[in-house]
Amino acid sequence: MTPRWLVPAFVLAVVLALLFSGNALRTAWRLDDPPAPVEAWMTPGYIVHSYGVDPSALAAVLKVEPGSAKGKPLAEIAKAQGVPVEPLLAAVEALRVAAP
Amino acid sequence: MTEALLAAIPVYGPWVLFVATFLSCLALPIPSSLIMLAAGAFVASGDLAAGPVVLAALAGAMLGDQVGYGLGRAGGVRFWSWLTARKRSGPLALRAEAALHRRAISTVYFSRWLISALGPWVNLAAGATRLRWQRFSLASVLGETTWVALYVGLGFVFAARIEDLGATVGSVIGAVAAGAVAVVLGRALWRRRVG
Repeated sequence: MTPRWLVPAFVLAVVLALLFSGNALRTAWRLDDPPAPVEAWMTPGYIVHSYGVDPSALAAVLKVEPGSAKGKPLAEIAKAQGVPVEPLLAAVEALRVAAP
Repeated sequence: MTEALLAAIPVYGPWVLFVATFLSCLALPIPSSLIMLAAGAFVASGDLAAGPVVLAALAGAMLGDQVGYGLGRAGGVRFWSWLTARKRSGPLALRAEAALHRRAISTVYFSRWLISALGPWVNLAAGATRLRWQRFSLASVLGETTWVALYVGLGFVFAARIEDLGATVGSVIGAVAAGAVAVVLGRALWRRRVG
């Protein structure tokens, strides 16, 4: 009477639960690492908030008016200025590393 | 892919949340937990306003639940009577239906946020087994509110770590869903062995 799929489905569910748990532990470990480098999706506001970078120093590096780039990721700022995003990221990263 | 998605959130804000939560309630593989974490982070950084973010995510999720329930009701009723008439899967399906209706509010509520991988399937099952719409909707509203508040709140508090947090939370959600399925199937197997 037991449906044929019941045992394999049970085994599969147990295996998946174990795999996901292992993955969760592995990534939870990373939460203690130093914060990740600056990426192109981050906005100036996010960088100031998350990394404690000085807002006016950041605005100077990005060549924008302080507070004017609200809601704009670094990728958009670079595109609007017609420059590649990589040097911009490197400059902001240097600023972040120097921040207290 | 993740980068482009994250970059779209401060630009398009609430719209991204509405579309993401709507589609993920229909079982489409959308990283809506990461999107809500990121939106919470952009609220903390002053890029987005909290009100529109929360309302858009809630509206998308509730609409997605209603569409799932409606699809189950429209197309699932006949499939369900076919499934319950089968000799092997029939009794199990009937017992699943009875369990769903006995604990309707808590099943729908917890499948919104705690066992969220099962959410879309609970929507379809609720519609297909003609669970009362008022009960379904009440639990849907409560559950989705918990879901949105939890993730946007976590993103707000842990703004600097949303990517790592998103990966961890995704795995926890997967483990809880697979664990819940294992418990249900294990109990069914155990009962058959004993009985």
